[in-house]
Amino acid sequence: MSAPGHPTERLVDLVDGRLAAAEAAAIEQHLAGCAECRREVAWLKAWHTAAGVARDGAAAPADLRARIAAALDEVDRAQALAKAPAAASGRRGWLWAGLAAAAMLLLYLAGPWRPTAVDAVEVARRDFAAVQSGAVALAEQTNDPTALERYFAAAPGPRVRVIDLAMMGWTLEGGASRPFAGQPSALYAYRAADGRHLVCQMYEGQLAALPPADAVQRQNGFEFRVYTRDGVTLVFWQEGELVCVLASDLPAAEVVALATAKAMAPA
Amino acid sequence: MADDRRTRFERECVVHLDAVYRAARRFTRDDDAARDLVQDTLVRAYRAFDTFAAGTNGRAWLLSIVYSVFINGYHRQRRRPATVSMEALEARFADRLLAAPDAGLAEAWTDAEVLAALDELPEEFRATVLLVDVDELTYDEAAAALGCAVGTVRSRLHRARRLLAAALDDYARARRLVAARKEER
Repeated sequence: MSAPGHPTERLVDLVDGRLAAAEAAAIEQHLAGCAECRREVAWLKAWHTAAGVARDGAAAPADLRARIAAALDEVDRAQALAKAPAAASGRRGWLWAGLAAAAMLLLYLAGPWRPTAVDAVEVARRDFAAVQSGAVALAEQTNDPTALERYFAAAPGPRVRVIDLAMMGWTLEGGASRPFAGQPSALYAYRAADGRHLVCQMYEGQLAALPPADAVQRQNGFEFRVYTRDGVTLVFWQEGELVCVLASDLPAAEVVALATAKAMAPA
Repeated sequence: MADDRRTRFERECVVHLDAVYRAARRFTRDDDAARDLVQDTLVRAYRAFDTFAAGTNGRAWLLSIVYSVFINGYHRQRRRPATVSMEALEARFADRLLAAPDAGLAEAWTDAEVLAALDELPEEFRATVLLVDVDELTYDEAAAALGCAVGTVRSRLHRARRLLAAALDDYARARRLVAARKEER
């Protein structure tokens, strides 16, 4: 929308009163001599008058309030129940914990199964590069998120939600069940009109196992760990038992914004 | 402890229920779907409430969850008929936008025309206008809710607002033309 020599990008800021006095004055001065920009501003202001119409004053109906209060009660009850067995289990809990620890130790000593300190960030970066270069074949090629969710439900690895980003200009290309640090993961890829890729990957795990992040952002109840490796930005967050990664060579802020908008707590 | 949390949640979030309900109705255009969306939003917000920074804008936080749930669930299940692309709409009104709007035209628009013009926009443009011009979020808050850069919010607003005004201008002209023809008869 920007025409050379015209402050087109700032006209909405001017109309919304978002500019500092000096910048507003400079743009007003430009407007005095530019019929084209004056016309743009006139159209933008015309909409301002109409926007008020859409601002209805509807209030949430009483039955909806009651329904929400009941739903929140249900969350409280579920959380109270989740805490109760741990407190009540007493000695039996200790016994199970002891057996579990012994089993873990055996597994650890058994050799081939011994967990190694895999750098999940590096694995995700390599997977992104492989999608980008075409080295990873997407076993299920579809632009339909629901069809891809059905594929993951039948494939090894986690059952995942596939995010629809079509309205943000990202076309779903497809997905594949793919080994990730010794376990199956769900990987799916999008492509933008300019050929850039965005890869989402999910696997069972914990954020705590990741190396220290370059940046951490907390939003909408999620912790987002941001890493930049070789020009690829990787954003990790936890959804229930799954760790989700969004990776792209877009500017880091855009990858973070996509991740924060799309993260969703398990229903 | 749970009561404490619930009380804080009600004070910081449930207090914005009317705003959440209105936003949900505008996104879904369907009262039943809006009610489901509001409930889903509040439940998700309550589960995630421990990480909500007290004293920050609870309404903006809830609206970002409304939008996220809408786009990822309700929108997909109840997909709207495909709208025309922004480029096609801009091409349609290109000639009209070369002239200035008629003075006083804005007052002539009816409520139904304003809502119909909004419905014609591609979803990401419609959502940006709803969040900023109707729900009055800041550009930063809208960018966080929409998962895009602030510059994208600004550019979408510019393109959407001029197009909305031009579309409304068209409606008003068509109406005047019909009225003039009736008088001729």
